Amino acid sequence: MDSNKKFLNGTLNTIVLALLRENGKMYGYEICQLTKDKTNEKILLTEGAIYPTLHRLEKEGMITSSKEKVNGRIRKYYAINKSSLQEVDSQINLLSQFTAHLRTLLNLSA
Amino acid sequence: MIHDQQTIDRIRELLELSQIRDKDILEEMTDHYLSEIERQVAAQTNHQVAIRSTFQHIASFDYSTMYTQQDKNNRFVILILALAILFSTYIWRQHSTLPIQNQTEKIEHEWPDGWPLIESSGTIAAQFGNMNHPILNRERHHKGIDIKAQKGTAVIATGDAVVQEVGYTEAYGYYIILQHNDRYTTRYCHLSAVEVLQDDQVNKGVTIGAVGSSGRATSPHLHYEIIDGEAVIDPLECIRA
Ligand SMILES: [Zn+2]
Repeated sequence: MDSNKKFLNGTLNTIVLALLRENGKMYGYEICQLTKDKTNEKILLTEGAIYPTLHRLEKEGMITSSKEKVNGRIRKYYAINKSSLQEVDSQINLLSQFTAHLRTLLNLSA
Repeated sequence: MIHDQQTIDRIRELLELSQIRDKDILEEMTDHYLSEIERQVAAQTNHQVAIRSTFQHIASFDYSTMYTQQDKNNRFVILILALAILFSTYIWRQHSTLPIQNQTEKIEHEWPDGWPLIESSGTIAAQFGNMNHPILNRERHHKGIDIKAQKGTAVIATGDAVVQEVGYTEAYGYYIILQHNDRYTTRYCHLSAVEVLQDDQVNKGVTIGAVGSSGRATSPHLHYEIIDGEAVIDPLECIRA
């Protein structure tokens, strides 16, 4: 049950985790822009979606944050928590498997 | 780029007006919007225009959904998942079985050994035996083989027989059952046409119907079964080259 719920929570979480795993340390605005660029503006992550997700992942211990001074102001960076790396990988795999199943079903000819 | 205090204060003020109170979040969102202004300026937008459009965005953005957004996303994912399970179960259940006829005595007999489509056409899309559900971790037994072929391809008798039954069920669609002898019967399902009647005599190789997708089928294919007495057997083991 618990893992099921996690799975459903997972899509946006997993996208964020995958980006962080690939790019190391990132801040919220950077994640929004990177998603926009990578998907040719097909997926727009608004601030209303990205920050709650980041905060929840941080609370769950999947990611950690650090603050740095940039251009005279504070910027909050996020990175994968090293001790959760294995779980992050398994979540990413789970979502790509699910996507592959969906793709099979949509092309299916029984 | 260093922003003037007026811009920074105005962003904070607009966010506070939108009920954002948490200090950390205010700080983080302020950085977000200052980054947006910087991106626009770097893309040759006039600085004042960039500031004004960002203020407008903040003033009109609906932050009330900010902490319920995730629930909406969840509902969407649940819907997709439910549809996927429903659809895959539908495919998986496509071949629920017809009641198996009672057979009487079992004598050694020739089994029907032909290929059920004309000119050896079609390709095998699903084997006899256990089939895994693509999402639910369950297995079911596939009672025949599925041969994918174009709609209308002639379906032929795989051995000399008498037509035992012609009919329609929700799962199998239009089907024909041939009785070859006291021991073996064959079933041909999801047909688009039936060209024989009950009690007709048919010889091996004679056209009895046409491939279709009637019943629970997503694309044209023949579901072919061989029943030995009361048990289904693997048709591929019966076909002789
Ligand atoms: Zn079948």
